[in-house]
Amino acid sequence: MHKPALSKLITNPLLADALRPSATKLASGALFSSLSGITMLAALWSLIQLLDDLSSIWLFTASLLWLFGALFAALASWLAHDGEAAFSARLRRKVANHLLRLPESSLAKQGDQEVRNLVSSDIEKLHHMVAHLPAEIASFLVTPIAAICLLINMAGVSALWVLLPGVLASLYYLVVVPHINARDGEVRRQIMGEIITAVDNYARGIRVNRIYGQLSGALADYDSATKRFTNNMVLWVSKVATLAGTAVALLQAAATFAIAYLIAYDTSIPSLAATLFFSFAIVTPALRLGHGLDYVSAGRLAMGRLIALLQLPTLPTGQVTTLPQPPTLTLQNVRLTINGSQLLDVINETFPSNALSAITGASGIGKTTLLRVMAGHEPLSSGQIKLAQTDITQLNESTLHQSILLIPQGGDTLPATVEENLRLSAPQANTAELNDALLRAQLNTTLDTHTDILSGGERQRLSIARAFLSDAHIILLDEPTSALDATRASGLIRELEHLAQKQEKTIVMVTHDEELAANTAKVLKLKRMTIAEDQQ
Amino acid sequence: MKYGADSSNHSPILALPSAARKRLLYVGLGWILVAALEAWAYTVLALGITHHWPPLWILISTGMAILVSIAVNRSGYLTGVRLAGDLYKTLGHALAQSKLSWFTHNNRTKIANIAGQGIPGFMSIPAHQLQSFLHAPCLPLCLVVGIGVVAGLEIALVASVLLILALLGLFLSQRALKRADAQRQTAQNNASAATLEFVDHLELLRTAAGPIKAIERIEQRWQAQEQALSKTNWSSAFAIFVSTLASVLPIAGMASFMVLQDDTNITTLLAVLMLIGRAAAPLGELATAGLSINDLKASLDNYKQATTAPQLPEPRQPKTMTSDHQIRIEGIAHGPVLNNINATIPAGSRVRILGPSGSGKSTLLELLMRFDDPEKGVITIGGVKLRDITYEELASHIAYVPQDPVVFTGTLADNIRIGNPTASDLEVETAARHASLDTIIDRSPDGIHQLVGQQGMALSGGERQRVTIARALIKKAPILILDEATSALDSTTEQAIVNTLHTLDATILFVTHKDISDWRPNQVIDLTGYINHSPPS
Repeated sequence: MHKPALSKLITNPLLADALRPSATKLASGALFSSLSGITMLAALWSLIQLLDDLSSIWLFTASLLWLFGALFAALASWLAHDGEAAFSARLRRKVANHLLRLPESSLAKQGDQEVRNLVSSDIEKLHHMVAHLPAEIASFLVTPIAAICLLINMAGVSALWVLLPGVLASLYYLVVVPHINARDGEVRRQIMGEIITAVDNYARGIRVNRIYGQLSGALADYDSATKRFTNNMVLWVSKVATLAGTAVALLQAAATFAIAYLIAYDTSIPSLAATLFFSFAIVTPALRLGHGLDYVSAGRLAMGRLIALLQLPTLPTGQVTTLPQPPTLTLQNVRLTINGSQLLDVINETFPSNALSAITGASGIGKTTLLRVMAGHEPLSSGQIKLAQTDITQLNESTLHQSILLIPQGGDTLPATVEENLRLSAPQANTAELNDALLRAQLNTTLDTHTDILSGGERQRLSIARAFLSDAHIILLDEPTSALDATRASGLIRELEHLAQKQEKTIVMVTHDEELAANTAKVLKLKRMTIAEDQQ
Repeated sequence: MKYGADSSNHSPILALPSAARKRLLYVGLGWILVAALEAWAYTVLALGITHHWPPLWILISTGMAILVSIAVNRSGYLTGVRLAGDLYKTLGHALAQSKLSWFTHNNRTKIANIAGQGIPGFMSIPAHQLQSFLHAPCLPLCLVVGIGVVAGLEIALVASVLLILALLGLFLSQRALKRADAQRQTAQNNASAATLEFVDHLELLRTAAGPIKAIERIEQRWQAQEQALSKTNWSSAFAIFVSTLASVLPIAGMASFMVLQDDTNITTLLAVLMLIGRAAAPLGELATAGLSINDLKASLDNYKQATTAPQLPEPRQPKTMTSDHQIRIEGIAHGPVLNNINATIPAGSRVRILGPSGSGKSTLLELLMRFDDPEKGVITIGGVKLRDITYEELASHIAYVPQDPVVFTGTLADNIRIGNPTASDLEVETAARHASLDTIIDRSPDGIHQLVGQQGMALSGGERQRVTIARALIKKAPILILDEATSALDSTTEQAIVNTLHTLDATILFVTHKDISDWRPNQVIDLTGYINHSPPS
């Protein structure tokens, strides 16, 4: 797999925007972290002086230095975390806004778990890298170098042998671990992802999974993912556990102290003290390596995925904000492609601006895609959708949303009250208007009802109620009557026709019900291209 | 029930399976041993300094401590993985037993968190958390004894007081952290739920609210999380200040005490400072661990809740289903709408469940599949009560097409094969073609192995519906339940599918809002007036 360098990712303009305002805080965090390390070393130096002459001035100096060291450490932590929090907040919004402006087909191509990860865990993975990496690099370099200088100065060059355990352990973290991760990391991530997807699929499709038996479907995937997880991880961990355990044990002060004593037991007391104290001060930053550098590669991969998402092209928009009223909706030389293949003839059509029209056609022919294209939620391979003679890609995104309301099929609702759901589209409407919309959508319920207890048909009608609240002149409905009984369906059609005539609205619905379509002002029947061409 | 018994207990550690608790106990004892050996090695070093010993004894005692530490670390890592494996397994099987009504939006978010973050976090318990909570306090205790051996009782007492003071400072800062942490946990759950909601309802939000207002709902919850996080950042910065000072307090205090005494020997001072420095070091680690214990406890609590969710009891003495598949519904009452429903459905019938929206049609079908037990009344199949049949056996007799066509990310074949995991590719394709999926199979060179996109997003609503029908057909179950199974299909496709249904040797119960002339039901359960009719002939 191609892995771009960290520096390339950080300086990518898509992320740099979010990172730049936090740069000062992050850099100051690293600076204070180094200062804290140096101050704490100076305190140790004072303590060694104390061992030489037992004068209490050294005691006072050491205490003062410790106080400042603690203060700097606290300040470094706050600066780094606060800077990172602001970065995450900006990035989270950027990704969510980008998702909202992607074509539906680009979204469909993203895996389920991937979209979820992008907006939540991928941003969290960056947290550790952005908050801790600058300070760790600084303290990993600055404190040991300062300590090595002091050690050589006080105990001689031969004292450098005390670094052996620390160096060995660092080699493990800096060389062996990245090597192992490069080899096995992707597999482990995949196993982890499988388990998460298995649990999620199981909870979402609980009814299906339950009735199709414990051993089939998602739970079978889950069980096998669990088994694979345990087997692979045990195999992997037993390969590396001894090395990892050795690295951890070598980083304990005991190993370093034993060597320090071996080297310095025959020298002066201050020299022995310097060897003991500074040797461990050099090793201490390596202890942080023990928390793992996984977070760096995890953060880098997350960054790569986020950039890839932000690079996906969004829907085209323009600057036009005013349109002559009422605008007419025209399809001009529209060619529709689904998964790269063209299924339909070129479409040229103008929908009447005060009537209900219908789009029909066989299942899977592209009715829903056409409706999304007409709402500007899907790009067009060629041709134009025109609203009052203006190409809709020239419209400002708010104007587009205010002009065209799309009501998708399926009757998706937010897990909230009926009122909250309606207010998504009509925040200013009063209670009477909301109740009236429900009535006209043939939905007999109260505004404070939670959508959890609505049936599938009731949710569909709740979505349709938006049509009666919207100011949009164009209203596009996808299969509005699929879950309605005949009486309600015809009642709804009457209300939609009434709405179109009274308020001069262009209403277009996709339906597979030929009978319903036959009674509308205009029917656009989608046909397969091959058949059409054969007939010519 | 094995999992139910734990619910009365308050300690979240008891949410863990008992085999896992035993493993943790052994690793815990190992960490105490490591602390004792390490303290022994430092004490030998201190005695070496004061008595000017040659380094041999120091090297031997240190070598022993290191070897045991390697062994305990290794077994800690392995135990961690096995623990996670146990927990995943227990979770999967607990979910398989949980009542369907428990799977609300919030609980689904919780499950996703447990699987993605909770359990992977538990992997570090044996190697890291147990070290922090057993090794870290034991090492100073043992070292105080060592200080007594090296410098006498008085110095050991002073060391104890200094270490206790340091611990007190840490305890106070930890308590402040705990409060901030609780808020952070709540905010994080909310933000995570908001994010899931945002992704799950992306199309609704962009169509209903538009690109600008769609963000508003999630924005409020993000801000709450960010404010809570900012508070936590201040608390943790303060904790770092306190813990840094607390960790040097013993060294500083001991140096002051010994310097102010007249008869202090320089080698003893060095030995004692080294020992008390080591004793203070793990106290700092305890403070950092304090940050994680609340997350750990919250994760364990969530895990306990998920694995002890309400269940429907399985029969103690299960009865087997006979070849008679007559269904009897006797005096069923459930929820606000179903009241005194009665019906007898002979095997092989085609039964329409009739009634206006909201009259409980789906609920009745769900009770037939025992998604919940009815509040009143019984349902029997072939004279056996549903609650006397194991769920596995009941499920093996029923195929179900839900109102909301659930399609999983994967291939067409993966989705259909859920109905019969052992089906061959040919059988899958046959079932798919019987469900009128021909155009989809033929439009891609991958045929039934083509991908269906995120949750089936690459398919249209009608196509998703036909996938779920194919899934039901391939199961060849004696009872077929169709809840608005053809709502998104055009009449030609629907007719083809209904014709296939007529060739099946199965009892079919269905709900549809559409023209039923093709369906030709021979029985109707009418929920409009809660009366069971015979159909007009």
